[in-house]
Amino acid sequence: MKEIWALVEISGDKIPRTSQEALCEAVRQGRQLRVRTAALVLGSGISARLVEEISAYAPDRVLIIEDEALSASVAGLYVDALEQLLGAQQPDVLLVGTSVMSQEVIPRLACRLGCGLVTQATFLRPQRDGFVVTRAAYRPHASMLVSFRTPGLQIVALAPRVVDIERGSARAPCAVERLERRSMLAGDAVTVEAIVNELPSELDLADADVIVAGGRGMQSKQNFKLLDELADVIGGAVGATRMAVDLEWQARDRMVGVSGKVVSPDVYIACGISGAIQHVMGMRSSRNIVAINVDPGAPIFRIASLGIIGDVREVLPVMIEAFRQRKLEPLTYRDAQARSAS
Amino acid sequence: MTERGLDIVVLVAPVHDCRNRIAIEPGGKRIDPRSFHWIMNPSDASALETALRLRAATAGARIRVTSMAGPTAEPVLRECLAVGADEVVRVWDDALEACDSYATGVILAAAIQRAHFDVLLCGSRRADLGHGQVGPILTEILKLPFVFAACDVRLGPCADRVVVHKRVPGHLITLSCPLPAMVTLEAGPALRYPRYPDRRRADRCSIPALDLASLGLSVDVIRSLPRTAVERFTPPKPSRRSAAASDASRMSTAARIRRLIGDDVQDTSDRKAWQCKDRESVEKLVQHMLSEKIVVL
Repeated sequence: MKEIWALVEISGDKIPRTSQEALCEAVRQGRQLRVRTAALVLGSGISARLVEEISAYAPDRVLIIEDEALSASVAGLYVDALEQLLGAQQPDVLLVGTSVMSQEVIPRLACRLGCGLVTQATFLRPQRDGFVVTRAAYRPHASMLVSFRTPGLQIVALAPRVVDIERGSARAPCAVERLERRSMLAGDAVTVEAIVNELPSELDLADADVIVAGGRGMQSKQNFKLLDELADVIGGAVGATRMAVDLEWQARDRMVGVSGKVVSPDVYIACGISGAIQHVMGMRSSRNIVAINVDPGAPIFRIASLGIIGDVREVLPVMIEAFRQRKLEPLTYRDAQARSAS
Repeated sequence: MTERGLDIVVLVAPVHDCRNRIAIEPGGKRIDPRSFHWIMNPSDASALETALRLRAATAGARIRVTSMAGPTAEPVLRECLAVGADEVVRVWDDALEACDSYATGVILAAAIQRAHFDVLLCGSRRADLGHGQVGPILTEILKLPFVFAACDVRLGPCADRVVVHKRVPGHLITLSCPLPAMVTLEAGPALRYPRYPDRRRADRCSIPALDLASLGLSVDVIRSLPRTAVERFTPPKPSRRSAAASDASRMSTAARIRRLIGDDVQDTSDRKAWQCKDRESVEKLVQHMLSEKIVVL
């Protein structure tokens, strides 16, 4: 093995967590196997700050392909650009995170390049000329070990949240190369007609550091507006239990739990959620769990680091206002803290 | 779209219902086929429902269901007939068991191309294994315009394009592409419930099965296709909570349940549960959350 690449996506002005994980894993494996590593960045308007942020993970080099056309939501262009580049440069392994874009692009890319792809990988074990990959199968009853049968490039898409993110401590000098596209990318037959913003779900659940989730205790779709508001104030995403999704109070992609998304944010605020095991399995690894529920015996309190016994409809408005106030006067708050410390 | 009307092909995969355990054969190479409980893949069911709605809105549209599945999964395909699919074709050969996503794509492409089609729909991933690869691979093999993980498909005003809605975090995107096109769907709309007479009728139908020869493929070709191979299946590590207690038989039911579900739940007796009755206590709590850095503004 000579070189491991990680595909780094840019969304807005940030590197999504899934890409950070792919990059970390590539660097970690590269260090262990004494193999060179590279971060491949595709997009438009890639700022110097972002490049610096990527270098902080300490890959050996950063490759950048910048193209206005890549900012569109159409994936065909990504496939073309990646096919050109990977065909020419021939790395041994490409690691990617699981995102809306990569799930569409990477299988097409692998098909075109004639190489193997394993998705939803949870563990990589080095073996002669590449990796043997562990992934979940028939979850939760088994996992499967998958090997590649084709020589050359191996592509692995990591399942979300399987890698701990660590930035390289010593900032090793890292070469930044801006690559030229060799030809104009051909257009895609799919055209974008319209993009409508859906506000409360601005953040992907898997990406969010703060999640405010509601269950049946929210009582109505109307009350979910309170969660939107709270999420807006403290900068989080809105999640929901299966019950709330089934009652159509929230879109399906907001569902947290066994049949929805498995998340582990820094803070998980569970509002009106009793804590059924199917839901808890999707959020139990959150760093801090704050539970608001009227029932003092609700199982959610057993895993909560902070429990609030009260009706969400009464607690939330006060809470939102209190947070909002603190946000407006950060100085006085810090002053107060300094005073209490001294 | 031809003079004859819109031809819709839906790919349906029977998948294992993961609420049931599976048995791994000794050696770990295979899953014991008797342990499978087949159900229709939820996202494929949504694709079929989308197709049924599309057919209802289009004069002269037909739905053909194509599936790569063993004979034991036939009840799932009968369900497709019962809800109103016009034709169901099953592709199977014993050599297909070791197929990876790419080989599956090649075989399905051969089956789909046997007849004319305008719209190709399938779920975005199978629920039991979750590869999520067959849709994109088919797009490449058949060279079709592609929309991934859509939530709704309609025919455009001129009937020569499809209009597809797709949800990405924060946005609802409307895309359109010329026919023939491939669209994969997220699990969304539930499949309608079949009427009893339709179910009876479906039970009496025979489902044609195609083997490799009728697709113009040979076993040797199929064996050379896969790009990945399953080395082995392993059961999950036994978790603490499922470890059998030696004295379990003598425990009361309540104690056993507590042991199973309660033991590894952290003891929260030293943690704070706040009674929030009035405004002041909530404000105090917010202060606490901020000072403990639970929430950072």
